[in-house]
Amino acid sequence: MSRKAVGDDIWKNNVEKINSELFTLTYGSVVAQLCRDFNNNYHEVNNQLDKMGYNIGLRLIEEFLAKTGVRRCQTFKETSEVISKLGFKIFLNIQPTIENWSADGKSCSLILPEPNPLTEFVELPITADDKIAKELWYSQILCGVLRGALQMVQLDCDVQFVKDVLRGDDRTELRLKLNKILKDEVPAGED
Amino acid sequence: MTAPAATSNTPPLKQTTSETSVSQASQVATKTPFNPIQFVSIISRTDKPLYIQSFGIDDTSTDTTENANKFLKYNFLSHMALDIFTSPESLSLRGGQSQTQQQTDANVVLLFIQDQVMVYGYETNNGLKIIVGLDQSFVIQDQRILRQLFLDIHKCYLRTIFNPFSKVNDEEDDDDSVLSTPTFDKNIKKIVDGWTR
Repeated sequence: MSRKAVGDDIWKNNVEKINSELFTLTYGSVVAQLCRDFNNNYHEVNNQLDKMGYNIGLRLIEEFLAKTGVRRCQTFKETSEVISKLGFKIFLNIQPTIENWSADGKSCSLILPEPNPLTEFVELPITADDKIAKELWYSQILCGVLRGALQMVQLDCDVQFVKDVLRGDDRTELRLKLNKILKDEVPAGED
Repeated sequence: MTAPAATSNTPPLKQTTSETSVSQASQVATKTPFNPIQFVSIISRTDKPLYIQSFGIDDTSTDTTENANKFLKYNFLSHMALDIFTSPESLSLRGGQSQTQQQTDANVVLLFIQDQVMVYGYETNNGLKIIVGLDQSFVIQDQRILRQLFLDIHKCYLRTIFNPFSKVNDEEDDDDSVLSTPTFDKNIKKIVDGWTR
């Protein structure tokens, strides 16, 4: 079965679902509360969202592997395909497209489709505070999730937003970059 | 462009402009088919006015005081509507209506007719009141289409409330802030323009 079919199948049968509005509103409240707590210091809010995502990703990868049973990927290209066709599909029911591969095959762009369940109904209050459109990455938690999850499979990656529809760009784009593959270290004393 | 019923006369072609709430003064003049909706206003559960947008104002070449007068008139009509909403006759009317209708949650009531404007009101289950003024020359073919209009406005309001960055806070004094976003204006205008009669 192709990866896409596997993903669709798992989503249909094997995944517990919740109301998407509840999810959207919860995430929205988290971001809005963070903004209030940090007094609209949006760089700090981005960091916090990233940290939260990182902690989620560390744990999420276990569930992902249990549900899908995929084997170790041979190339980073395969990894990114698994992320988009299975990962996003199972947890968010969206399927991002992958574009813009770099020459060395180590970085690519993930384009998140609209509607994005995290950002439905959201509008950045540009009239109240115009810094927000330049500094806040609303869905930053996704970067953290990817970073944490990939780290647990020995891939050290950088994940960053490049464009965001909420900021007025034409699409939402994440840049995924592989830094290095972590080798498991043999504990000292054994050999 | 022409009203679909056999009994009504064809309404004249009218230039419609839209004017947003008092703080903004953008005006757009377009030659569109006659749209009977004159204004839309939203009032909170505690009878605080939240929003008003007027349509059907004549083209920009006429004196702006005439536009301002019309806008004031719509404001007054909204306030009058509030009185009727809570009057005992209207409450019993709505109570009686709800027993006969299958859908008890969508009672659109003709509140009054004044100055060539028919004012319809709708109260949501949360106490939010939506008020729409229609031109008197318009004949309602189907109550359901009118009800659909109110439901669409209600949905639009909900979408805006869902925005996590909107200040939906009862203690704040300036209630205008929640709904005075340009996107809300645009969405309401879209609903009004697209309303099939």
